[in-house]
Amino acid sequence: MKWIVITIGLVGTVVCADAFGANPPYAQLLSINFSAPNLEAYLSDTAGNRTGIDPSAVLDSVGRQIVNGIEAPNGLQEIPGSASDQSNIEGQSTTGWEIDIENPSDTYVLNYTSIYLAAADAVSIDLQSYSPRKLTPFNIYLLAQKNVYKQLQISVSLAGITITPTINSGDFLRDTQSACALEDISPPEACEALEDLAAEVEKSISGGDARKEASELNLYLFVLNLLHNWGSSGSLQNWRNLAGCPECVPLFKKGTHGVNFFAKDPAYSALVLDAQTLLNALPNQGTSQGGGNQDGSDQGGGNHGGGNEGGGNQGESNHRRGDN
Amino acid sequence: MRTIGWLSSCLGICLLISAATVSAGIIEQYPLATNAVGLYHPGIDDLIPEGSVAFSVTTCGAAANIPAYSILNACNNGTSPTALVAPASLMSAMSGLGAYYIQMNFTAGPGISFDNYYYDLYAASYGGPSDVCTADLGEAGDLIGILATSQKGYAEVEWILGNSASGATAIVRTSSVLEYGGCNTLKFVFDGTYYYIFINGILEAGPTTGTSGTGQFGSLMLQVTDGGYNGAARGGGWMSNVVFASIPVGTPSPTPSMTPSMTPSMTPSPSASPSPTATPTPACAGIGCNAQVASYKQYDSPWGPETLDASTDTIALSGCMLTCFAMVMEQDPDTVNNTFEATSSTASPVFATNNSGRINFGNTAPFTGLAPGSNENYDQTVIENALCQGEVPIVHVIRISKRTGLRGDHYVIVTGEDFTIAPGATAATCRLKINDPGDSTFDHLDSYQRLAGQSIVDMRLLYP
Repeated sequence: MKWIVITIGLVGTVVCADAFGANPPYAQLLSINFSAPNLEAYLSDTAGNRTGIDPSAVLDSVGRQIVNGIEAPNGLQEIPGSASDQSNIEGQSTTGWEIDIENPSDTYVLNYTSIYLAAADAVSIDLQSYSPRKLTPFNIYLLAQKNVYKQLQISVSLAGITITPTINSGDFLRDTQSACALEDISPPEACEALEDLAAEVEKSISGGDARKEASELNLYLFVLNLLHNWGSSGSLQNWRNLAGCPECVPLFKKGTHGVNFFAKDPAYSALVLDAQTLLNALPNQGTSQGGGNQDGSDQGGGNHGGGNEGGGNQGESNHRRGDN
Repeated sequence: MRTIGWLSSCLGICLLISAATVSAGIIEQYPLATNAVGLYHPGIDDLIPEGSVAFSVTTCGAAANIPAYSILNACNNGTSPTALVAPASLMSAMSGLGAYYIQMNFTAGPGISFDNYYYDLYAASYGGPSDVCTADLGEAGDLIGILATSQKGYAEVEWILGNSASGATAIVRTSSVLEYGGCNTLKFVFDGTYYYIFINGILEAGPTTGTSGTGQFGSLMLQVTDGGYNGAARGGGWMSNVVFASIPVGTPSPTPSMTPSMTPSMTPSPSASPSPTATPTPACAGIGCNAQVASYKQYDSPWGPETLDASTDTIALSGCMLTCFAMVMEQDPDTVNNTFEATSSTASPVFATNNSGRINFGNTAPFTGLAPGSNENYDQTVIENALCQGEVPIVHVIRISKRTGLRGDHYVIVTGEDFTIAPGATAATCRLKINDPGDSTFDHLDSYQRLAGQSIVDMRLLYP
């Protein structure tokens, strides 16, 4: 298990500098929104309390939890000052979730899974402060799989909010496979190359070979970013720099003419977060190359892990893109 | 402020048109066709008498392709008459207290350019004795107005409430649905207590009360300019097919948003509630406390068929929370949705793909001034207190779709409370009134407690 800590300061965008109305009867609100395709989650605190979906509940075909045969739209609410809420508009195939913690001050673990074999979502983790009102938004892409619970650690204190992705053994390869299953990466030869590289990373982790792990992760990121930037101004659109990469042979064979190469969000950003989390957890490992952009322009895709638009200070975020 | 500057600079003598014979209560339906009470186009005639067909009023557009005419430099610079003014006889006929609809249709001509500084459309009603037409709104007795402004595609509408020496005070700002070259309708409504402004059938402002106490419209003026403001030279601009009309109360309205039932906050008084017996005053803590929200239906046009932010669902299907939010912000759902579409991203969606219609309140930054609270367990006492604190409760319910028969999550706004007898009940109780974005028959929250399979889930308070 490897963790990487990303710290975001509490100085965020001021949403309402001159508030003229009342404020809620609490100083801060941590609000976690799973907005899209059926990522179910519960939050646990250090005391073992849980808020969100009941992991023992049965989920129906659209992700609504059923407890004792009855729909339970509020789920567990064991954490003091917490609330959770599921919502599924009539006939929709997915169910959204929101978890709120009033006056958060603890280290929480977000446990998430999916009813689908593969799913990806943009998850918002917002810390709203009142008086004065300000918002520290944190948006992150996550990949999830059926019957697999993954974790994200969220620590909230006066010093800031800290997000700590947890990459368990097998997660990296599983996420790469999920991204391909979701068709966020194309063509199949690109998936084949990335899955092979991810498998090599997993082997390196198991074997304790940090140098090889770093090499494979950097190669993985290079290919991934190359796919993501394909077609952008100034981007590489050939495989010449991948000479000597046996996992990349499928790409060589595919060529470059008349093929639509891409790696897109939400899976793309989730995979970058995975790879950089692993890479930065290695001793003495710097940031990987962004890949693809010859002119060093920042076209590497969305922000990952760190506060993005309107967000708080990047703090110790290790994620940079296009740093050629 | 540019708006006030322009208004206060409009000191020229504007033309007050006297129609031949006008009677109140003429029935008009939108689009107005054959029975306009007054028709006027500057540069052609001062007045086309009632019933005239000097140029067509049956179409709103190319049929009246009149050469561009500069109509506003006078009002700005104090020279010649500038604005379109409703017939005085129409105003006179509407001078008593009561409910009136005054409808103005117009087409903005090609002389009005979105690419050239500002495009102002101003329509006002004011009752002060000395500024029948000058639109300074700086005198006690002036009532309401509306201003649409565009700068290179950016449009806004302000509802301005005058009646102060310093000029108008903007009380509502919202995006405009006015379109260059389109057929637009402005409608003022005064129901004896509240004022409303509709643009193209959509409630853009109101209800609010005027401050003059006169309870009547003074005159109406409509004018267009292109380029410059507050003393600067104005370019040409013209309108065609302008129609002033009065519609009596009770006239079937073309859109649901025009119906009196769309303004539930108009009857907040407990004394207006049907009391079954001479029982003592009920202890309903929320009576008299009303949320100041607009009223929209998620299935109405033009927003109903639109897709919800980045979702593949339509607003009509999944836009209940969006519509609730629009009601709170007093902006139509289309405008709010467009704002979300412009600011939302995959990384920080307001509504992501198929996200069940919930707003991610953390990503509603364009709408400042609103603090969304946490989800809370449903509690009527909390809601009553919230209403009296000026907070707006959004309640999460489970409903059964009348259309599909499917159960699903739904959101409604609580607007107030009354002491009435619920259907099927034998005694009056304290009942929370709602604006239901998805149902025109559910006017109380207990509607969701009476039918099997429907229920109240929880609630969220919004702190404006």
